[in-house]
Amino acid sequence: MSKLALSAPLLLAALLCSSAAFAASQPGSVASDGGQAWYTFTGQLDAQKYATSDQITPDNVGRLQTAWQVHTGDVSDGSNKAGPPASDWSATPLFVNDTIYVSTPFYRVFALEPDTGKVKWTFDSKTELKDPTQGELKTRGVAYWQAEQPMAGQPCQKIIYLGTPQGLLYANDADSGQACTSFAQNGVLDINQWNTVNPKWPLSILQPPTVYKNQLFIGWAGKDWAEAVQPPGSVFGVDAQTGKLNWQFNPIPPDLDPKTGTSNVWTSMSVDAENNLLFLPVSSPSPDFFGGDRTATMPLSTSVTALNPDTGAVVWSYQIVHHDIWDYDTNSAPVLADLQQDGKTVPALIQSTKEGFLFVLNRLTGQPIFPIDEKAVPASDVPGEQAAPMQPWPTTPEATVPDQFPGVSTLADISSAGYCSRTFAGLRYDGRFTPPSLKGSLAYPATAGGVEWGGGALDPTTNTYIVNSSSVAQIYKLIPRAEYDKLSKAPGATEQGYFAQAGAPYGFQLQTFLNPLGMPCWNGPYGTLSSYDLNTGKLNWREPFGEIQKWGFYMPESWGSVTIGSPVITKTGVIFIGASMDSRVRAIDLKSGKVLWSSLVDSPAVSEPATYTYKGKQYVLFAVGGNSILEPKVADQLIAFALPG
Amino acid sequence: MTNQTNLPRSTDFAMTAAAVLSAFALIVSVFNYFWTGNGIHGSEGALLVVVSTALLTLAAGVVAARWAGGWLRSLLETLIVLDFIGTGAAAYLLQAWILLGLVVLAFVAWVTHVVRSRTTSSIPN
Repeated sequence: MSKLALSAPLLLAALLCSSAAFAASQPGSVASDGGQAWYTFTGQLDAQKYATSDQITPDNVGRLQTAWQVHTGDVSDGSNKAGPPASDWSATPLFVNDTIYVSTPFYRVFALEPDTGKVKWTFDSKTELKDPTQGELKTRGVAYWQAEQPMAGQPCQKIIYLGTPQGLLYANDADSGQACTSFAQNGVLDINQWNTVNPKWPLSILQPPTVYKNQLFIGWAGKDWAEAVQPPGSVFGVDAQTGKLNWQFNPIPPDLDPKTGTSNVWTSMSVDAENNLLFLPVSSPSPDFFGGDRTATMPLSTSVTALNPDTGAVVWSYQIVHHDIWDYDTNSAPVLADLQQDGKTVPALIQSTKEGFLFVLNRLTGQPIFPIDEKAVPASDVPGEQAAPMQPWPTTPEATVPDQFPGVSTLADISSAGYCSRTFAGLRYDGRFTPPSLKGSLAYPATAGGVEWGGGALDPTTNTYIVNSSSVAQIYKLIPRAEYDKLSKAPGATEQGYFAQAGAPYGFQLQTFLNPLGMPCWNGPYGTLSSYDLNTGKLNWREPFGEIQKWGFYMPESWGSVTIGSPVITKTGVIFIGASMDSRVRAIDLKSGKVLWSSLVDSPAVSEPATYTYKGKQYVLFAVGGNSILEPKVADQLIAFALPG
Repeated sequence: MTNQTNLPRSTDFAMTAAAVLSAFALIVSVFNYFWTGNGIHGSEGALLVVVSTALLTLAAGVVAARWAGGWLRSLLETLIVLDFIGTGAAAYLLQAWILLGLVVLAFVAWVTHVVRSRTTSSIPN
């Protein structure tokens, strides 16, 4: 049973409240002119990524032009072995306090004028440019807090927080960039002081904390492919002004600490301010691809879990994957919505997943709003493994990717003299949830998604939900330890996707199913953008999204592109999104899915754009940094677009 | 039999136009390879069209200047059309629209050259 017991009094209180305005006023959520601030990673705490700015419309978006751009200088392609590793810039720029705030992959903060990009101040954490967990220099941005009644002339009434891979959280005054010395130790909080169970590596703060009222909710990233026994995926509720720990949430039952770990929250969270609920997307336990040593029930792993933000107590939890052995981390902040069904308002959340499933749940109870079956799935044939016999399977809304592998690409197969079909014939494939195997299993969808950490966006006026999704097939192969130890020491092993899972009886090899020329062995489209009517659960439209480039050549638009990042929606019915491999940012018509405008940028914009109105003018702002998972091309460009005049 | 040494001046003009347009295509290709704002700079495909337009310019120039005759001229004319097809296809896939436009114009000039050449060759000496 995946549901946890509900806190009845809290549930009752929540149900008595109207949920129509769950995005209640958080200090800082409103700009100085009364307009909307873009003050969290997902724009707002409800993760809708919905902008009330209305200057740019489907009719005039074609006239967008560059308003300003800044190159931070903080970029590395990793080619210099003696230099920093590759940078991976996925920061959402914040627009709040009449300022743009953004962190760089070199762990600096830039505070900029919203209309010119002129630098107000910068802060350099002087972080060593090595990543102890991820291998790349990653940041997904900064967090912002302000006092309910900021006192003029007093420092640190408004604070910007910057996390580092080493587990440090810097607090700086949002107006001056100076350290807030009253926060933790001289303005720096080291969350590794709480890393006491299986402390194999530092807790990397790559995702900015979620800020609500006077607390920071801090999740972190690790490397749950490296070892079987790892730190449990704690989330820390911390006082925003002092850094004092208020509570700690742990998804792993303590008696399992000697056997497993992680199930961390490495991505953004969302908050229902009206009902005082914090929603966590909880990832998979360690090791990622073998669960034979962790067969005990772990109901909070690979789940969406609601907490009381004041105490950290679990209100409800819904498990997305039972006994996860596919690395199907719940990877994005659930989007909150008030659905209209049978004349009633239903408080809901939408949890997108790497599997391409969309779980639509009542956000007060965790109960499904649309049917979710528990379907029988294939058994494991690996000695020691016990795959879960059933898995949750939402039937409405339809998944963003097909249930069945889309077939071997004829073009890729012919151009590789039958490599693709020969390889496919040698793999185990029994549909969704085919377990990893010793001969190699085809995983479709695989850990690359489906839907990645950006999640979807929602137009709350119509409950239209927009989500970008990838279609990627990967090969999951477990390798007995003795054999793995030999293979992984061979030259070039890192590039061949070996993951140690040290302490487990098997190492692991993960390969994307490509032919020797680098072409996908499966049929496209490889990326899509979908629109759903969440009141009914029906698909409105689905279009191939983005383009793939190989050697500079663009492949047909119908193929689409693998994507990382997310869309935003404006009140006027325009979707803005980067995310694709082709280094383009686009505006798309909300009604039809047709591209209205696009612009080339310096690399794939694998981030979530921000849009805001400042001094009467609407801007759309992209952090353009690239991600080597998609493309080797990286950049340091922050670019704002606006209408002329 | 084609009179290789007494082609009308208008035919030379068409081939000269093809050579000049090919030279412009080469300049655009080089620009595309080095300019960072176009989505293809530094790519293998962009480099390929630098090479193909350079060869195109060279071959068209040789034909226009009448530095080759007989079978060599026929061979170059054949290679030129293959280069047009390849470069045009590459420009299309690179979404290098100015380059594609120049290649199309150069191809039109080349066709004009060939048509005029064949028309002339049918006139007895």
